[in-house]
Amino acid sequence: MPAKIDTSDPGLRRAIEEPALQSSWGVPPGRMTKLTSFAEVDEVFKSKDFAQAGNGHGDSAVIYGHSLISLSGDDHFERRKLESVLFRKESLLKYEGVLEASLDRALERAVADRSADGVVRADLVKLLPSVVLRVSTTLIGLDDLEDRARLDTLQGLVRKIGDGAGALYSLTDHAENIREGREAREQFITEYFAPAWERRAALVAAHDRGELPESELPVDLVTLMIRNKDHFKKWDEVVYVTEAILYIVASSGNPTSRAMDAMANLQGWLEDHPEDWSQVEDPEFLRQALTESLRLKMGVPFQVRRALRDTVLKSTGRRIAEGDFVALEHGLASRDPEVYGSDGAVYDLHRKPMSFGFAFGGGPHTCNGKGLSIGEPNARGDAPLGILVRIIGRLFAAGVKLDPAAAPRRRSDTIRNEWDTFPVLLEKL
Amino acid sequence: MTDSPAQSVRVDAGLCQSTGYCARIAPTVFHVPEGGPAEVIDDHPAAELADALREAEDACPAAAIRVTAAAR
Repeated sequence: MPAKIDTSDPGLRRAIEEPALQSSWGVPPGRMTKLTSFAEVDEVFKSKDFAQAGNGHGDSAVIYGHSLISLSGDDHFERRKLESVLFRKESLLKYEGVLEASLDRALERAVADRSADGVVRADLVKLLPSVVLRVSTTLIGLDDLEDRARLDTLQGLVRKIGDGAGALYSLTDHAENIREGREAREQFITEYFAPAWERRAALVAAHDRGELPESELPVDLVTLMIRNKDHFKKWDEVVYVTEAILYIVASSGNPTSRAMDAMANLQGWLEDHPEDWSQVEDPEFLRQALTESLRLKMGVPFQVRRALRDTVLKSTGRRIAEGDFVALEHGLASRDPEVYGSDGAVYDLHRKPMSFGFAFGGGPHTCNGKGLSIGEPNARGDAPLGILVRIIGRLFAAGVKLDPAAAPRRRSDTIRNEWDTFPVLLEKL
Repeated sequence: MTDSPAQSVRVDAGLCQSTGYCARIAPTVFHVPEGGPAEVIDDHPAAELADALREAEDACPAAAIRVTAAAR
């Protein structure tokens, strides 16, 4: 039997317990309230009495400031509305096509590196991010990434930028994280973003002169920003880069680590429920497996919000003073026994109804990559399946199993829930 | 409003995050009461609202809105 791994969250509460980490977000002593129940977390996520105060604020303001994730109120509404075209069905299908082609190439490389004993081995931490990066670069509109070395360089930059943007959750020197993130951002601008911008600006100019039809313009973030400068002009011009960085970082470490968790959780389930192997090619079964895994394994252990006015939570009567912060422990809330029963912390594919809890956050900041990640329930015909569903499907079709000789290892430098290594066997390749 | 509706609209209350974005875009079709979820107050809106409805469907952070062509 292949080894099982521990997919719990050891030590992740540290960030909320340590005043030093709180102070880096600008939280005065005693002004942070932890919320762990489903009802309170749900209420605050949806409430207009609270504003975003985590991502794009405090430590992460340097890199994420004024990006979609940092905004509240009218600014958030306008930005979200503007960018929603990038997540329409036709765009999602395009991204899924890019993903499949990229997966083909990644699996071909794994086969080419077959071990001397005839087994195909791979580290999913190396294999999956480059695959998903091809999707995010398509969404953003970055070019010339067929060159493997150029793609690898970008992957390294994204990790450093992500560590800077995620300094909020870092267990190492935040200032150093941010310094390295900013350095990487400069290289990203010069080598990737600026050429893409110039190319698309020329296309938009040609369109505006009547020389290029609308249908010839790319549908991507960079083009969209060039065509909607009226929205972005209220911020410093760095907002254009910041917005691209948000999407490229958000789609790198977290989704790929969640795919790895889902793979491990499903493998464990199938060992205990071998009768379900017959469903492993069914996208809806895979979606359910992902949904249950996402509920139990989230990218970060908490989100931060700040009260805009003195507030009494309707769900519990708890009072939050204007200006105070709340840490929404959405991971714990997504296991709340009041909602999920006494076995809410157990991975159970027989759970009814299945729910991903707060895996995609909630309220206006519900992740706009949700549909891109997991599609829709009971997707039929040409409906998008979701890139995580497709990844898990391809891995199980390739005979994926945890490598019994090399256990996965978590990143130890951040409380973000990400893997450092995730060695697997691909026994059917 | 016309007499021949061209589309039908529904909101999945289980998914709705009560942002009110739909009501800002198409106030004659959606209403979000205090605490939500969103309600459809005109479930067979007129054809000229098609663009606004698609915008509301796209902009909904929870992907809780479905607009479909209605049987004529």
